[in-house]
Amino acid sequence: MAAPSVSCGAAVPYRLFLAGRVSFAREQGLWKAAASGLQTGTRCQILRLKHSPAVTTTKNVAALRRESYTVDFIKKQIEEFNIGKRHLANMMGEDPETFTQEDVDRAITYLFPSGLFEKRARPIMKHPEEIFPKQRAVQWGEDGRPFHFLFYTGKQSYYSLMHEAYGKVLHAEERQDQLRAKGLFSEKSKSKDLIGSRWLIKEELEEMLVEKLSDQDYAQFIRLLERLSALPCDAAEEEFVGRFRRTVTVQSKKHLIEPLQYDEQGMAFSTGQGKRKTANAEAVVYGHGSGKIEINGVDYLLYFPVTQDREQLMFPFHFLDRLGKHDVTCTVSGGGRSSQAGAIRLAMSRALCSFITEDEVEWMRQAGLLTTDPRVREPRRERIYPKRKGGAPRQIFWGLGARWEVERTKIPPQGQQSCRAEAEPGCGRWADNQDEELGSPATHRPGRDHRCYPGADDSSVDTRLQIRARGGGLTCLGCTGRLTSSGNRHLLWAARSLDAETWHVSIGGTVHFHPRQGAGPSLTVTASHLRTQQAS
Amino acid sequence: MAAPTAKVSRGWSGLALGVRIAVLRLPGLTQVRWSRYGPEYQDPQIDKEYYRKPLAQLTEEETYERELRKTQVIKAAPATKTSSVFEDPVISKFTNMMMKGGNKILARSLMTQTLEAVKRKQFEKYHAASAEEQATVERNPYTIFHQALKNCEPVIGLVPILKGGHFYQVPVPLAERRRRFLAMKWMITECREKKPRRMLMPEKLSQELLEAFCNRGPVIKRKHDMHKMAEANRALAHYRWW
Repeated sequence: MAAPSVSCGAAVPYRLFLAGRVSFAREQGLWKAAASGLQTGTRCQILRLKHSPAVTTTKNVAALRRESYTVDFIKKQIEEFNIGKRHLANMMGEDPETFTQEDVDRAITYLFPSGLFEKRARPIMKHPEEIFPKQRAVQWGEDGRPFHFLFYTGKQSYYSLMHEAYGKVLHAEERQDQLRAKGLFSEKSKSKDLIGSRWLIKEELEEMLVEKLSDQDYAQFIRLLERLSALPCDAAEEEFVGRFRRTVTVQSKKHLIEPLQYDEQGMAFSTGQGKRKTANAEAVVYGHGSGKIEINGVDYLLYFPVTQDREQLMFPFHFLDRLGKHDVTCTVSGGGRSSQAGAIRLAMSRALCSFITEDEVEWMRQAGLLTTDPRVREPRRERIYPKRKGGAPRQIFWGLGARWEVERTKIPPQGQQSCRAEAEPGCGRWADNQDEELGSPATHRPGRDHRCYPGADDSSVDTRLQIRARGGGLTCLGCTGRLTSSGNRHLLWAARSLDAETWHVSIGGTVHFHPRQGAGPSLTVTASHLRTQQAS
Repeated sequence: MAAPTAKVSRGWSGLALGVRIAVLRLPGLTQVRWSRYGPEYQDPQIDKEYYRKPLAQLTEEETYERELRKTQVIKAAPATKTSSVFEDPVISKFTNMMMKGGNKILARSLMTQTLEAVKRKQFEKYHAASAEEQATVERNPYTIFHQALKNCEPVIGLVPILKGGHFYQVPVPLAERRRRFLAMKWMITECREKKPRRMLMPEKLSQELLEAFCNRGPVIKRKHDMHKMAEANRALAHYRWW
């Protein structure tokens, strides 16, 4: 993956390259070559490298050694970044003084819109500290003698940190002994906001020390810090320990509690929405009631004949001791009986949040009532071909000896386009049957690749779907007059992959796929390619 | 059916702490089991009394734990668990083990019919017994169920260990959950295989449960056989290294 530099004159610095882990970028020859060029500091060298891909792909000795950035180089990068930021602010018409990193990110996404799926591959402009890996300055002087006394341990920063921490521990213990001797020692338990913060993780510590650590080193260090924090410390020691703690969100109540609403009769009510797998539910919980639950206009006892589902509906109310105190009216669609029950449960819990105290909301959250269940049905491909390195991403299903692939190609809507007009070269038209109309009966040679673009009349649909069937015989309407059960199966699979709820086949060989309510217009597939391959 | 594209990424480096949709690729290894929840998600605590306990009565550890839970993200409660008083984890586990092909409705109805059959039989016995004996007759089907399964649990098990090209059955102490699993498994297998053709599962199962409650019956015999074999292979015990 090359790292192109975007430049609009001299305004934007050339550092505007593709993001990604620098370690990943390191593996690219361009990076190494560029880095070795950067050492010498001439700009034209870099540009030259950019335009001569041969240099980037061949292994050169300079590329194999670890690249290192000089301090001056980093300084220059920072200067250029700041200047570039100001230019960017100018371009966007904003004040350069108050141009934050978020504004920079927004400006870049606006100026360089990228359709790449991998977010890390999109253009970014960040501070050089975040781009270039932190590297240590040269550790020894001109005579070859190292500066640090622990250099020969190999992990000088880590051991000097341990040394410092242990010194502080000894100091604190000494002070504790002195206090005890004087009789002023008090066993005060320090609650040092242990909940609101956490220790640094190993990666963060490595980043801080710019050194590789082992798990045992890290564990040892944390043990020492915990020992230090258990002793009575003064301000300096607290500050030392604080350097290695990071805050953690104390309350994970991210969702807002809606205020109560009142209807015409003055009855308080609240709405909530919930989903589970493919079921979507919306519940309206009324403040006063007798525990009646109405789902899609039907009583819950009739709608959910299975006890387990009714228990799920009862769960939030029983948990809050509010059984029989609220009335609920809800609508639900999609999914099966269990997922509908789960969706309604979530919707009701969310609606109930408006009626209860904050503590009770926290209890509900800890009981798992307010979390959307993220589990979905595993895609068929995963079940047949489990994940392996370099697995194909295409969705494939088999039917009647025909191997179906469903490809979705998202094309931005560009006005009315007929099926034929936007056919790319090599696909979309039967190469040999020029005079064929879509939808008319035709005899196809066995083994031909048949393609068809459905939705010719749906200009509002911006997703073109191609259903290709390779080989095999598929029965359909037109030839035989009715679809056999085996013929139905491939349509069922096609419907599932298109997320269509129902489908019907009309006379003339057209299959209409109807999506779920509100998902979009229905799609039409001409069944001309579903013709039987007569035994040749 | 939303199937998100898989990306290789780690939860802590910028992605929001949430549903994990990525797979960490290791060379030569394929991950075959993964969860939609990230590792930071904790299991929900459904017991109502846990929350109703007044703060004054909590020990220091419990207070700490409470505070800690406030910072953690919690998974969604599964569809099989509720805060209902009628819910029994042992019964749920047994129902799941009895289930075939995902037919939970059938498994649960069989379970309720079994408990009903047990209760009926015990009530008949109760009414047929004299006044002194009536006190000894246990009528609660749940206690009978729990006691029967507890009686069926083996204490020691056998594990095949490869040594010198041969597999030896080595006696090994079993973990608590393994014991419970074996008891349930034996009970279900016994009922399925040795059932007369026209007899229904609830009837057979209630029979076996009542016999196991009284420490007789084929499942108890199987447990004793396992113990005898373990005793016989006592000499191989030193093959175990854990």
